[in-house]
Amino acid sequence: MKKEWVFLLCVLCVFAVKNMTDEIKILSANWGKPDSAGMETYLASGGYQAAQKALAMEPAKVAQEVLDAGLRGRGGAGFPAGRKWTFMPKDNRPKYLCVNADEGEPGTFKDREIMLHDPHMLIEGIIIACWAMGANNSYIYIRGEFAQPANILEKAIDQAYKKGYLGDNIFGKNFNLNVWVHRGAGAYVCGEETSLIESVEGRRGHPRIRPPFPPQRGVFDMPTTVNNVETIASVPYILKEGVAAYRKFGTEKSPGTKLFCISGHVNRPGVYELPLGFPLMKLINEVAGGMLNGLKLKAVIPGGSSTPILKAEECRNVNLDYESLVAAGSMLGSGAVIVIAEGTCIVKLLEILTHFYAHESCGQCTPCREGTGWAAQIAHRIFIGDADMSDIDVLYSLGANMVGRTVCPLADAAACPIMNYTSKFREEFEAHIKGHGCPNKNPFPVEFK
Amino acid sequence: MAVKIKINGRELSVEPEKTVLQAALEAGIYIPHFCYHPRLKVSGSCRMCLVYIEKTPKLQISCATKVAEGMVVETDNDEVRKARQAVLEFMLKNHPVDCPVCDKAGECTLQNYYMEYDKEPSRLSRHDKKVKKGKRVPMGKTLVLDQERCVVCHRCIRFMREVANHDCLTDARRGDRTVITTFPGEPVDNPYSLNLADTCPVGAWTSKDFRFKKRVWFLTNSPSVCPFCARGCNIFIDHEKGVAWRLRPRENNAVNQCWICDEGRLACKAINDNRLTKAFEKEGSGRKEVSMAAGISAAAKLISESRGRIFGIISASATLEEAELFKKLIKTMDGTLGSGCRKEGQDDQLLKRADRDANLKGISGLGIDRIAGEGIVKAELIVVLESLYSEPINGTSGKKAVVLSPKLSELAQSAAVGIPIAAYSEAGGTFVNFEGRAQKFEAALELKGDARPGVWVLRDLAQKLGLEI
Repeated sequence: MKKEWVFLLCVLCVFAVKNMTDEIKILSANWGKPDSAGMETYLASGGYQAAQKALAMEPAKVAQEVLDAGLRGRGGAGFPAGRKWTFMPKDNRPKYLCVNADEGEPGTFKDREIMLHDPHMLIEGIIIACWAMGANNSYIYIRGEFAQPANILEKAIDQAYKKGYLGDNIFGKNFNLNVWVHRGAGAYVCGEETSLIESVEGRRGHPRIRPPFPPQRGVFDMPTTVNNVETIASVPYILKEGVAAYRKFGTEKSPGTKLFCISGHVNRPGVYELPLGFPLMKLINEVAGGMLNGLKLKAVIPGGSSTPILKAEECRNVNLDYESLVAAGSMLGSGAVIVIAEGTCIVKLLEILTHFYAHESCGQCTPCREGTGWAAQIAHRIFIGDADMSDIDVLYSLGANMVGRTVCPLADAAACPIMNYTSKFREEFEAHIKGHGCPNKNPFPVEFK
Repeated sequence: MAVKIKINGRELSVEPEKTVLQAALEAGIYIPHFCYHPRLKVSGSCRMCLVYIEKTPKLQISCATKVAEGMVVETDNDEVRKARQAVLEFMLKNHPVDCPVCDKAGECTLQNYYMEYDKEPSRLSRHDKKVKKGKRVPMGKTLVLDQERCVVCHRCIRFMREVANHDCLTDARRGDRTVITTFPGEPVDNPYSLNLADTCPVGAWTSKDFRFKKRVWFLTNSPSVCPFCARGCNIFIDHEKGVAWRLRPRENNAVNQCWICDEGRLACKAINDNRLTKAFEKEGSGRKEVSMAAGISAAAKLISESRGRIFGIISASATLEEAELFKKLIKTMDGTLGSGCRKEGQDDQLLKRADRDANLKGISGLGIDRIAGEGIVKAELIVVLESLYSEPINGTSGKKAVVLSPKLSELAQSAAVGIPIAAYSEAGGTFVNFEGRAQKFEAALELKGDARPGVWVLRDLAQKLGLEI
């Protein structure tokens, strides 16, 4: 009995050590410390030094630093953050920074962890970003379901105000900054920057037509930049440790670390901070503790439900960075790796996803409004076997008719799994129609509790 | 500085603030659209006006794309046609296709576009269900909303917000469950609400007044001018077999853009109801119907008997032509005259004018002033030319009167002689609106009964009196 315990402990230690070598703690440095969300903890780890340093620099220099570090948007599109900041006009209008904490992409749960465990890192990032852009106001748009992170954030903002890090003349500079937490009402589409802006203004979350882009006309028609929580939280490290230190991690074109949310059929699902360019299979097999119950890998959705699925054989030599995943035919997206084991019904998966998009389509543009609902109906009918062979083609064409025809990318996101799954796993769809239902007794190999 | 663009191979020179859609429409190249409306802000949501623009990765909506120097646009290539078909298919996915009972059928944009750009059979499976929504939602006094027919183009929302200045509509729910609605319990109660029925590209908004009354393809659309106030809105009278079924706005940027008020629109009923169709003479306490000739002779007799002691009243909504003849006639008979006005309303800064007579400006221009003081009291006989919307005039009751009227008004009922004349809708004529804009319009409907245009009757009367006018 004792021997077994020792053995288990050894295994765990080996695991832990191994993972420690893989994981790099920049964003997650304070996670797990007692009262990690508190001001004292953050200050003890050298917090708010970067902001102090940045505010002593020229704003343009700060933006250049972030551009040089090659920090790319962590929300999904991967647009260089420093470049985005330089789009802000240099006039006297009030400017706004919106931090996108409307983390709604299925499979993504990284921003929540930042806000839960280290809200001050986000606030420090906001201070630096606002200084670089000359913005005096910042909204943290947080999804309504994140009640706990919102409370923690509000508390952290209060602490920062008390310390004088927010408010008037911060760090002794002639610079005022106010930060508000704006809670959303539960719409996926509000994670899209222009509908986020509409929502901040108090209206229905309908995306706006671009141009004009937010830097020209954003919140209350004023210049606005919208950045993801993780992007902003990555900024303090760059300013504190320098460009070279940040570029040590990751690849040439995708430098730095990223939070990966791994979920699905793995032994240790969770959020891991890894350098970009980390091998996908290593993430699954080592960091996440391998496949659940020793199941065989069937496919991986590497960047949240809106990115194309990769079959097991396509995953073999894929690295997790922006370029490698595009080359592999997918996208890094928000870094939400969903692992799917053999025995999972892809049709069921599509049914769930189409239902999600049909529920979340804002109803503004015709193709998305009608297409998502129709696709959900067909996907459901195929799953229960109440469909004809021609329905697969209709389903695929619905996706094709939605792509690129709408104001915002929600239709593209919805079309992606539709077109992708029906073409990559067509035989499963055919089997459902021929067999009048799902061939598996249970569409998932493991019952989740 | 105009920019040069090319649409379907045609070189055009357009102003730089124009959008591709505007440039195309002005050049006579039609791009189908639902949500775009020339008078409303761009919404860009219907995706029907997608066009191919060279050097852009995907199709662009022409309603929101500004023209640029050297832009090359294709509005009718394969890609665009397919995209349009797809949009129409999506629109029809949850549309009830109840055209046989829909009032919009025949003038429905969706119906027309399907015939023009799609004509493909439905790919809906027999298993697919349409989303159920409100089929007849009462929306205030004038309108009924069918949420199932709606294509969510947001024109109604934008009209109420931007034109009517009454932000009462919104969309509720999401995805294919999206419906247009008001805030809970709020009716669409606005003096311009019925414009929604015209602005709606499909049969979602229907007017309670016109609902289920008439198929639109039986109607003849005759241009006319609304006589209901001094604005002089340009309208269409939609009529069949001498019956006017509805009034609709006719576009005129200088006067009414493309809207009219509900009051003016619903005044349509007056064209059909309570009209005077036969001449009559007073007989005891009743009326005796006579022929037009006999009526005119009787009127001429009364007028010549009272020569010098006549007071002429002309409705300020009479046409310029009628007013001119009327003035000459009364002046030659040594009478005095004035114009009879309707009660003042309220100026609403949009279309409605406080002055509710169509031609007050024109008539005062002829030197006929509003009735003032004692003229009527002193007169032995009053000669009145009424119009369709005339209201009773103070001091006229109990007077011996010759009345030329299109309707059986209070005054006409007690007149010594009554002669039917045509209303604006049957006579045509000229109105001068409050800005001094003279608007000439033609007759729309056939004459009713014995009624003749006012100018004819006045001419006959003058002949009977032996006058040269």
